[in-house]
Amino acid sequence: MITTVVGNYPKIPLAQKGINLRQAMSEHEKGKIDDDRLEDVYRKTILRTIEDQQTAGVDIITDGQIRWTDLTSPMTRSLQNVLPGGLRRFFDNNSYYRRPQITGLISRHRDLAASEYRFAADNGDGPVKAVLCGPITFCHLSDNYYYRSFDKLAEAIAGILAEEASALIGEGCRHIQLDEPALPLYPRKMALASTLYGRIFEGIKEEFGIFIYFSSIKPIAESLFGLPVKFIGLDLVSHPDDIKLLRRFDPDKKLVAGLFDGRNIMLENEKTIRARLDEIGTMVPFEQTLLSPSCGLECLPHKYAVAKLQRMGEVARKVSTVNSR
Amino acid sequence: MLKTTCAGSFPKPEYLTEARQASASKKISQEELGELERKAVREVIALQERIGLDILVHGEMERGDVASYFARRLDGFTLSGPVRSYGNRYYHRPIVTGPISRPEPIALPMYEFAQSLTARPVKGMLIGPYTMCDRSFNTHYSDRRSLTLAVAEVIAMEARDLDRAGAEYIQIDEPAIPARPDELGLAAEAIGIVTSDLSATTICHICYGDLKPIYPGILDLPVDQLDLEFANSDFANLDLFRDRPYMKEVAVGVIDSHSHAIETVEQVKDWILSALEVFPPEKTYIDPDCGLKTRTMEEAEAKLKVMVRAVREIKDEMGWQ
Repeated sequence: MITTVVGNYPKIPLAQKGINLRQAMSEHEKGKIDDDRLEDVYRKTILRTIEDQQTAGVDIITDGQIRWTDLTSPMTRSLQNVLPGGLRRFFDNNSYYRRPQITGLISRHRDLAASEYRFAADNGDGPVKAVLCGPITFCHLSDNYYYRSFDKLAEAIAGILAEEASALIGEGCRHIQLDEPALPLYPRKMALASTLYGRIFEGIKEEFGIFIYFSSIKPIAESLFGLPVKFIGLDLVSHPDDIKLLRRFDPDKKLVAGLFDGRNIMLENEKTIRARLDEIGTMVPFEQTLLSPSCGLECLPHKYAVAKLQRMGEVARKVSTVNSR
Repeated sequence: MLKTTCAGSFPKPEYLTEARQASASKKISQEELGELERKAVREVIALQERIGLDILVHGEMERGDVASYFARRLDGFTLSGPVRSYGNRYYHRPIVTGPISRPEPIALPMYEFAQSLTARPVKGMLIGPYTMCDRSFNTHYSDRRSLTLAVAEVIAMEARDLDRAGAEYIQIDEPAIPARPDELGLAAEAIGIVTSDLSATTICHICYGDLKPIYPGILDLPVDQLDLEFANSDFANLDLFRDRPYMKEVAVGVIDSHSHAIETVEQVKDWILSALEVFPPEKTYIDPDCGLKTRTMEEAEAKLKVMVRAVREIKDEMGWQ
C-alpha cells in the first residue's frame, strides 16, 4: 500500500534547540539576521521535514510547504496583481490566511512551486509531490476586484496553473496535486472545474489529481468521480460517511484515502484503519488506493505529526504484507 | 456617545518578554514575574488614560495566547507543543484530558489590580467557551457540545467573579464562532450560561471570520454588545447590517490590528461615519479590530491616538461633546 501526505507540515519542532524557523523569521524581521541565514534555516527545516517523512516510510512526500504562510501565498508572492489582503479564518480551522486581492490582469512573474519542488526532489530519496491551490478554491478564498465573474477569474488562474504544471513537469515532477477544499461548496461549478482541470493538465501523462479536505463531498458526489484527473484525495475523517459514496468511484482513477486525522492528536489504532480500508476495498480496488492523512499536518504540534506519519507507515506495511499473502 | 475602547491585548514590553522566558526556564520566580506583569499593566493603563480612551483594558500582560492561559489554570487541560495560527504566530494548543474544573479564580486578580489603578472602567476579559472548545484537542469529552458546555460552566464562574467585583463591562472573546455556522446555536447556548444574571454590560468579540453565514443569527447572541472587526476587511461586513434595525450595542473595529501601517485620521473618520449610517451613535463604541499584541508599542500608541482624534473630531463636528 502506497502512502503519501496532503501537503503542509509543522514548521517548528517542540524543542527550541537547533533549527528554529520561528526564531529565525522573527530575527530576520527585526534585521538581526540576513537573508542568507534565513535561507539556510528554511533549507534545514525542509530537509528535516523530508527526513521525518522518509523515516516514517512515506512513499510520496512533499516539501511540507515550509516557505508558505498559507495555501494561497505562492500566488500572492509570485503573480502580478494578486496582493495579500486582510486576515481571514481558513475554513473551520484555528489558522488564518491573507485573503488574496485580485486587482488586475493576472500574470506569472516567477514560479509558484517549481523551484521548491526542485530542492525537495534533489534532497529526497523518492518521489516528491508538488501541491498547488486549485482554481475553484483560489476563487473562493479571494476578493475579485478585476475579473467580470468567478468563472473568468477561475479561467485566468487555471491558465497560470497550466504554466506551473508545465514548469513542474520540466523539473521532473511526476505527481501534481491541486488542493480543492472549496469544491464541495460549489456544486454548480463542477462543469467549470472539469474544463479547468482538463486545461491545466492537458498533455500531461504524469500522476495529477485533486485533494478535497474539510468539506463533505456529498453535494458534488454525482460528478466528482468523473473529473478528468488521475487521482482524487478525500478527507474521510471529517465526514466518515463519505466513504459510502465511493460506490461510484471510477476504477480507472486512484483514491488517496485520508484516514489519519490531520486535525486531532489522538492516534488512530491499526484495527480501525484496517476496518475502514476493508470497507473501501469493497468499492475501490486495493491496488488503486493510497493511504494518507486527512489534510496537511500543520494543525498538529510536530511530535504528533511525526507520530501520525509513523503510525501510517506501520499500518501500510502491515496491510501490504497481509494483502500480498 | 462613541465611547472609545480596546479589544484586549497590548504589546508586551521587552522586559516582560524577557521575564516570561526567564520564568519558563525557572530563572526567576512566579512572584518576580507577577511584579513585572503588574508593572506592565500600570504602564498600559497610564498610556490609555493619556491617549484619552473611555473604557480601558489591562492589556493581557499576564497572558500569551488567551486559550493557553486559561487552559494552564483549569483542571482537565494540558498544553501541546506550538501550533501555527498564521504567519509566524504560534500558540500552545490546549489538550482536554479530563473533566474540566476551576481550582481558583483566573481573571479576577488582574482585573481587580487594573481597576484599582484608574477611575475609568476596565473591561473584564474572558475566553469564550465555544472558542476554548474549538482551540483545544479534545481527548476526553464525547463530543464538541459536551466540551463546550463544560467550559461554559467554569467561564460562568469567572464572569460572576468579575461581576461581583464591580466590572462594568465583561468581554467574552469568541473568534471561533464563524468557523462552523451550524454550531452558532451551541455557541449561543454556551454564552448564555456565561452571561446569565450578570449586571455588567456583556460583550462578545468576534474577528477574522466570515459573518455572512452567521448573520442575522449573531444578533441573537445573549450579550449586550458585539465587538466586531471591520477595518481588516475594508468595512465589507457593514452592508450586512443595513438590512434590519440594529438593537444591540456595537463596538466597531476601525484600526487594522495586524498591519504595521498607521491609519490616517481621515481614513478612520470616513470609516466611523460609514458605520454611523448603520448603527445609532448612542449604541456605537469605537475600538481596534482586535488585540494589539502583534504591534510594537509605538505602533499601538500611534494607532490609538489616531482613533481617539478621529472620534473627537467627529464629536466636535456633530456637536456631541
